[in-house]
Amino acid sequence: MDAVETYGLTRLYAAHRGIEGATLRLARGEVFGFLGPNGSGKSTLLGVLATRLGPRAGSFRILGHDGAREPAAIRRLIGYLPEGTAHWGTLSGFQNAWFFARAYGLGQAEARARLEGFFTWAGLWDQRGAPVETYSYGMKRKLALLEALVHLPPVLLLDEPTLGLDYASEVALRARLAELAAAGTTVLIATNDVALAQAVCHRVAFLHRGRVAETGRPGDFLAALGGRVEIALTLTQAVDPALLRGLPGVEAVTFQEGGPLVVAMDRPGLLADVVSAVTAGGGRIAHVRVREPDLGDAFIRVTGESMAGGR
Amino acid sequence: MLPSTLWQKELAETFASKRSLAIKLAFPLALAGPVIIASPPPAVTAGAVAFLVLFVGVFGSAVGLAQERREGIWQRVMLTPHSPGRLLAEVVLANAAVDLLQLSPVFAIFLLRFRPSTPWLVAVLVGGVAATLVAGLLGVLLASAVEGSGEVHLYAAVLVFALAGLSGLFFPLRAENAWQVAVARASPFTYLAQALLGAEGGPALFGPLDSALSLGLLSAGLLGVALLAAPRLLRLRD
Repeated sequence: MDAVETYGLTRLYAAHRGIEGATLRLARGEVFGFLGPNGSGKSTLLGVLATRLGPRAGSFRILGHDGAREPAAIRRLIGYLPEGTAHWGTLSGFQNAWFFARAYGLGQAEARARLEGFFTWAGLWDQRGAPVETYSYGMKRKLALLEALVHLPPVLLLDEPTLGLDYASEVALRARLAELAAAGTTVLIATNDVALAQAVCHRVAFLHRGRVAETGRPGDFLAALGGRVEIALTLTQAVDPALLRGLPGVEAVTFQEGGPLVVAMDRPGLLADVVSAVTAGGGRIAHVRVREPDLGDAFIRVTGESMAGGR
Repeated sequence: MLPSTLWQKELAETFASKRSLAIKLAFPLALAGPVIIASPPPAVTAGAVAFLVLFVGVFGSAVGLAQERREGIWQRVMLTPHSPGRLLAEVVLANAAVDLLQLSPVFAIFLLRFRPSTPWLVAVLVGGVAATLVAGLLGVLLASAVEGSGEVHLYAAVLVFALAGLSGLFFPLRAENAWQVAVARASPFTYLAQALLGAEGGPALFGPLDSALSLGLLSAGLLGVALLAAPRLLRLRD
């Protein structure tokens, strides 16, 4: 039995936004990412799976429970991090998290032990007694995240989980998600964060204008890009671009502010050759930036539009 | 206090700030205290106290819950495994408990001022609890039916004044106006007003037993219907 199955799932809004005809199957222990620009239907899809929104067509099952007929059973099995933050502001972070831990059936001793661990993990232990209205946005998101995790649900639905998190927290989250997946938790992530998706997702679906444009493994999408890299040079002394165009593997050299942008097939020694060519030609390098292709580039290849929503 | 249920959460919020608790307690007292002490005609005192119960109950639950809906907390609560019936019962009972706490000084002054006989004392106490419960229930239903804080305030005001009018809180009910009494009998707040009137020694239309029983049955019936309809009443809006 798959952890999550959707068949032609459709939930559209009047403004032609939402999700249409989504058919997916997710295995237990799989980390699956929904990638797409704002308005592509990611949050709607997660909202339907969380039983927050009703589908207008199609169906879905979570661990064998039908979404339309058994929403209560599904709610017991999921942890859901919605968009934004929603807490009782006058209560402390610990009081808020305690309520949800108990609502999901944890006993008092278990809830206390789990929350102590999760508050420490999230770096909120010292602020656990402060009213949530005094928390920063990032702290509120961390609180919402640990509230979704604390009952150790077999299926996790996370909407933009890295939004508002500092780098250390993001790294800790990636490690935690990998641990959970290894333990059999199925994780669905709706995100614009391609670095997160590349780091933790076993598979991703590109959502484009409410439809699943393509589904696959991040590595396969990246491989399909052909191993190209971009080398952006900032020069204090310009050089003849013909020196760079003649290098093996270089496909294009364009100019941007500060210097040339080299697009080339990646190969051992490419960067050294580029730097040597520039210095041999009398150029002076102030800064070099190498960017490997990511899922954002793969999204453009598949949909013809960028993750920012433009062509 | 670590809240495991909605009613515990409500109490934790109420006692989280001493200042807001003091304001909550002082507000009804400041409105009704002078009326009770000034000894106007009995119908005016009874109408004022019953109106206060209606006002505090409806607005107290409707405004708070509408805010929770707007902020998304209510959606999160609805996505927990608890049944809609349990959630509705907890919200209504929690709001009623807080409202009764707010109103208890008013009832205390009223009972100390008029020192009613035991039957009327029981009628006032039963009536106070039941009417607060019903007012809170109406507020919860209102908040779950309309969008936005402004709308909630508007419709709550309309509801409160309409019910107050029907219940004879603005003008005394007269036995000779049979249709008026018949309509008023459908409102729980009529019985509270009549119990208060009787407790003051005024010309109540119903006896203490009639008031207490009618109000108790009416409120239990309304709560029962609301609990049965909870899955529809509290469904997540999409």
